[in-house]
Amino acid sequence: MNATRWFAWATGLALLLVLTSWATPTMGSASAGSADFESAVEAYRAGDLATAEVLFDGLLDAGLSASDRAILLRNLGNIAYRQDEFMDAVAYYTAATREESRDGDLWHNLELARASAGLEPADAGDLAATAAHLFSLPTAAELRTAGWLLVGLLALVLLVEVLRGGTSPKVAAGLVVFALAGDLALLQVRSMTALEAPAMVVAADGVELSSEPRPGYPAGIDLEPAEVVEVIDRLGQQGQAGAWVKVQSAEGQGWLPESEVLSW
Amino acid sequence: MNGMKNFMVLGLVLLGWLWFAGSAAAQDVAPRVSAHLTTGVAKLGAPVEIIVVVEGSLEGRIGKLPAVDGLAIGKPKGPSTESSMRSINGRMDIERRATWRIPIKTTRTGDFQVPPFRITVGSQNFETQPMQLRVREDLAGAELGYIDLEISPAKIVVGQPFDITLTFGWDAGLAAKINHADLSLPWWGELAGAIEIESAGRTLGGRRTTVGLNGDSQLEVESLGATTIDGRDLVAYRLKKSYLATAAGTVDFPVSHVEFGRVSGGSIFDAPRVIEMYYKSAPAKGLSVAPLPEAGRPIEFGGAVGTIEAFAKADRREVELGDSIKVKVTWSGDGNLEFFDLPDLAHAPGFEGLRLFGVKDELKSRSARVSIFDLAPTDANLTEIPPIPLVVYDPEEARYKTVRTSAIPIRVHALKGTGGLADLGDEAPRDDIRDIVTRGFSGALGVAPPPVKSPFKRPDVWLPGSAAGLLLLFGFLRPRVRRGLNPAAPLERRRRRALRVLRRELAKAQSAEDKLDAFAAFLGARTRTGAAMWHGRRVAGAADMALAPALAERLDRHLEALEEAAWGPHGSPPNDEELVGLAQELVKEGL
Repeated sequence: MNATRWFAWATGLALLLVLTSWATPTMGSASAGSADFESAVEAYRAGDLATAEVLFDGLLDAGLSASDRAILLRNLGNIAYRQDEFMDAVAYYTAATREESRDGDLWHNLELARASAGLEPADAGDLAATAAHLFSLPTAAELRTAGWLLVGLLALVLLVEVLRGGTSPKVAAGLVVFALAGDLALLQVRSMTALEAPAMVVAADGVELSSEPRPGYPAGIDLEPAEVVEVIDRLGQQGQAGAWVKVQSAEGQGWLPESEVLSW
Repeated sequence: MNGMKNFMVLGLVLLGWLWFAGSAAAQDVAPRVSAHLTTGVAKLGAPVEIIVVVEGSLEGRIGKLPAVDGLAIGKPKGPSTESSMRSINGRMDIERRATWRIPIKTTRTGDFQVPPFRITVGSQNFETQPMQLRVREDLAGAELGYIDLEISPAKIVVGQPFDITLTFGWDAGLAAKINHADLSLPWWGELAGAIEIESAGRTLGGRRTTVGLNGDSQLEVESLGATTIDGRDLVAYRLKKSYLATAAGTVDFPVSHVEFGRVSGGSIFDAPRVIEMYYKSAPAKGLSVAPLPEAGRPIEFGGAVGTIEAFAKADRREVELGDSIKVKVTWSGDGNLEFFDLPDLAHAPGFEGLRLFGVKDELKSRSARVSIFDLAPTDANLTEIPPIPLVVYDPEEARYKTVRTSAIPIRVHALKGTGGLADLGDEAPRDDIRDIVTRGFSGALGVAPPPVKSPFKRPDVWLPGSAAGLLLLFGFLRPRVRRGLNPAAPLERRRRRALRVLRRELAKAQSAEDKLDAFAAFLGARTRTGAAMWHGRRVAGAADMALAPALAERLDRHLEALEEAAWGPHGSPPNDEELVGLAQELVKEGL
């Protein structure tokens, strides 16, 4: 009897320790990028937007943490806005909200840029838009962290239920399972709808896709301004004149000049 | 069945042959053209028609009709066609005929000749013969009837509304006989230089009746009943219309007629038949429209013409700085209320301390237009809404003048801690983006896995897998740990609390008997029995107790000592620490 009880306690504690250790984000190592960041900020303050843009853009690495990417994307959006490139600003701000969705200033900038570009507000203010906004608030990393914490909490509650019994542990376990199911569902939806190489149409009047990567071959698919698509192929070196990208939209696939989209 | 089919085929062949033969015959007959008037003598105002008949063809085209002073020749109506087939001595003959009717309105008396005009049939051209028409005054109609066209005012300028009043009727003595009336108004719907606007309004309670209009439509007019006009007792009717002059020059009203009389029949079985008919004409009139003078025209002139009055009313007098005040201005009078531009208060002198947010404008009636100006004071020192000016050209005085509303006193309360909206200048406050982020950038590499599109590519299974495993582990361990006991049952809860309760009861004990009761209660709780079971009981060698022999003997000694101290004459109970220490050892041993 005593051996079983100790076994249960030991198992629960070990599981809790393992789970909480998994839930703790791993700290990355600081890089030399901080110096470039400071230089970019100084250039921006000095009004040298071109230099600031190059430096911020150079730091924008896929391996950065979400919060760092959000900072860089927002700053790039500000640079675009200051240069009256409102569609580019909309693209940068939209990308930043995907990384950090609870930044009120970021949403303010996004709505202002959309208004300046003549687009409808990102948050229409109706019930559906509010619900979508609410669901977009936690990041995927936060959802994972919350999921692991909930698993640990569930282990603790189940342990109490095994050893002590009673109604309260059962109710608590039910609530934790419910919250965990919601977290997992949201995480799964987020995972399924995430794009590997997202891009936004920055042509002010929208653009028509081509069936081949050259002019004169319309594919009959029109993309709206600020429509988010996924880049699935590329012709020519990125950033060079004449480069084309193949994108996947809700209506289908097609090519368009790289200058008509902004990818992040 | 076959016989019936053969008969039908034969009939169709026969009809086809007849049609072919008839066509062939018709092609052989040269077309003939004739034209004549329905009458050679007509009363002034009475309808006259030219009947054009083409025989031998169902088609034809009437050329340009001649113009005759005193006669208004209308557009041809038709053709109406008819075909007939007859057999003469076994030969089938088909006759074809097309007929056009060209209406003529007589506008004055005299002898007229309608010149020849061209009619084209196929490739052939024909000319009609000259036709003579004598138009005479209808003396009886002139004596019995009445029609008058009044235009008010007599002289106007471009942009000014004007009203026409057409009054017509007949002698009151004919009232019982007259069952037909038709107005001939050649200017109806074709008034050059003017557009129709909403009428000044109909007489409330007036009776309405319907009369014919230009022989092809109906018109609702106001019935005046028996009335006296120019000393004559008449049954009269009235028609009012309002127009707006759009161009300088003359607006012409050709001769108007009223046709009244008595007809019979008029059903689907009986065509209307005129019993008696009279005609009365009103002379042609012209309205002179003068251009708006350039001299003295203010730059603020927005096209207001006529007599216009303005009245203003505010929805509030006490306002906070920047709050909206709705100023309702009612424009009234006989001017062109619908067509002038509202004064531009955003740039009007005297309105520097007010910001215009918009205007809601509505034409209530021909003589009333309401404009609601949404104004907000930007100056805390403002004491009134200045008079709202409107530049109007007054045709009676033949000059431009400014109509103003009365000033509206207001009191503006400045917002606390502000210098007033005027400090912001003319431009509305402009929003701007938030600044760039300069702190918080770590440059550290993230741990978030790259996003995946499909759960089957790189499934993130650890989290749901852990949750599922945990639940499975729970299901596996629970029965093995509990072994059929419910840890929440009262006995089990009492057992878990037994050591704690023992410490508490020993601290409160006043006598050895109390200590014995407390220890017996502890043993009863731990063994899921009662305290009474442990009074006088010994455990050494007991088969139901799985205690080590040394511990069992030690327990028995303590029980004996407690009982001796409680019930015997001598003896002292073990101290509390010793009892608690024994109890802890018993719990550790699984008691």
